[in-house]
Amino acid sequence: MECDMENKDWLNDYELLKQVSRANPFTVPDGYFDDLSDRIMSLKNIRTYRENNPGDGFTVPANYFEDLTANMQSRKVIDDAAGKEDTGFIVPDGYFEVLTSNIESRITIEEALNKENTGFVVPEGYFEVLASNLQSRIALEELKEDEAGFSVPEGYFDELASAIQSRIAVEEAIGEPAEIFAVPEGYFEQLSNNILDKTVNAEKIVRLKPVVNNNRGAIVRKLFSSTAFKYATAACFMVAIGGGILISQIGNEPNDHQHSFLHKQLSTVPINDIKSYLQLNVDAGETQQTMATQGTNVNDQDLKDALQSYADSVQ
Amino acid sequence: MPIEVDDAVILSKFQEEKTRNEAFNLLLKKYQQKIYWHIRRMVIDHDDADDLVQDVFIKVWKNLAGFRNDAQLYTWMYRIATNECITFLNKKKQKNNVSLDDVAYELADTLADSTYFNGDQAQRKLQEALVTLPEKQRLVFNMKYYDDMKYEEISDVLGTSVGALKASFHLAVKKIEHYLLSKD
Repeated sequence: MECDMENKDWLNDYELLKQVSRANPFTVPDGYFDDLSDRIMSLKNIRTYRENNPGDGFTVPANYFEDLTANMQSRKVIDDAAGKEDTGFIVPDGYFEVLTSNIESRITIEEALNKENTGFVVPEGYFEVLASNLQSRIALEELKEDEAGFSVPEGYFDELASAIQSRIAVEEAIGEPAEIFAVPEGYFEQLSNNILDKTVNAEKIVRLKPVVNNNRGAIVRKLFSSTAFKYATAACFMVAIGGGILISQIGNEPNDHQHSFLHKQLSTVPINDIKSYLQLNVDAGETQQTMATQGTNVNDQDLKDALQSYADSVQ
Repeated sequence: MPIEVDDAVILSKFQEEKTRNEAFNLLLKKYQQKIYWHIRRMVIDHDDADDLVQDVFIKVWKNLAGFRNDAQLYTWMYRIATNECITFLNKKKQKNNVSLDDVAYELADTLADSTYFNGDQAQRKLQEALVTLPEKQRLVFNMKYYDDMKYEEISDVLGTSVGALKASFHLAVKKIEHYLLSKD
């Protein structure tokens, strides 16, 4: 009782305090005390487990912490050494100063190369032959500069291609009429033989007088000593060649000897004399060829027979 | 509603390892609110009180096996709670490097900003007066005014004689009345 009075009456001594409500003015969140015991139990269990299992399961190698300080100091020394400038490797002077700009330039170039079409094109294979072209041009330039060598007019090579093309066009235009006239194949090779056959080797050309019992003696005219006759002979041959060409144009009609003055004159000339004359006076460059240069095997009997036949035809 | 289980039963259950958790659970449900409000009135802030309540019961769990029945169980737990509150307030004082008066101002600010206070103006002023008191005077007043504890029980909790407690309580009330009158 006294205790109860003590607990309840003391307040009567404090009128002012007695006016204040003794109700608890503090509040707690809703349901706080409902789970407080559970939370305390969980905390208790955790704390107990931690006390019974001080470690976290992780381990370290033996003497790890004892060696840790020395290892860290060694690592620091190594890092300091690695940070020193002289590592044995060097770079050119100013390398790092220009490195950024070099990289940017390289990037710009590669971007430009990688662009699909900038509007500029080159002929196919241009770059492949460019080196050789440049070398050739350099060689030509060097030759031009060489005083001991040949020189060409200025701009010669530049106009050479067009000049050649023009010349070709002119030649083609000029050359066409030449194709209007034509001769049979191998005509000129056989022409000399034909002429000889028709003239020197013909039967009527040479009138052979009997050699036997010619007491009177033949009148031998040495035509070789006559200059006029030489020129006349040459002219006759030329006429014969021209006549052969004309005849070929008509239709290759065989030329008929018309017993001209030449034939009449030659009919009195001995065959041997004619042969000798031809060998001595006929130029190797002339179109007509001697029977000797032609490579034909000729003997005297054949020549006599040819002259005889010609003489008979003349008679 | 706190479960009213005899302390002897709780202690006997706690002695058995199989029933230790059960006993502790019973202990929690019986004394958790008392311990909480005792702490709350000292630290004012609910979250601070929540932390301290858990710490107290952890210590109870650890030391209950060595409890000697030379005192009431709840006075023993009150002692633990009181010590935790004083330790908390001392740490707060040392942390902020402030005097006791500054701590009182901080508690007053906490009280003013507290969401979990729905007392009237008189009650608010009373609490404001209380935070101006020294820690032990506040403890005595709270245990006497709010918990209706006897001076002998308060003496068991605080380890102070009954006479000193009475004098301390009287001084506390005077200061409170003076505060209330000055604020009118």
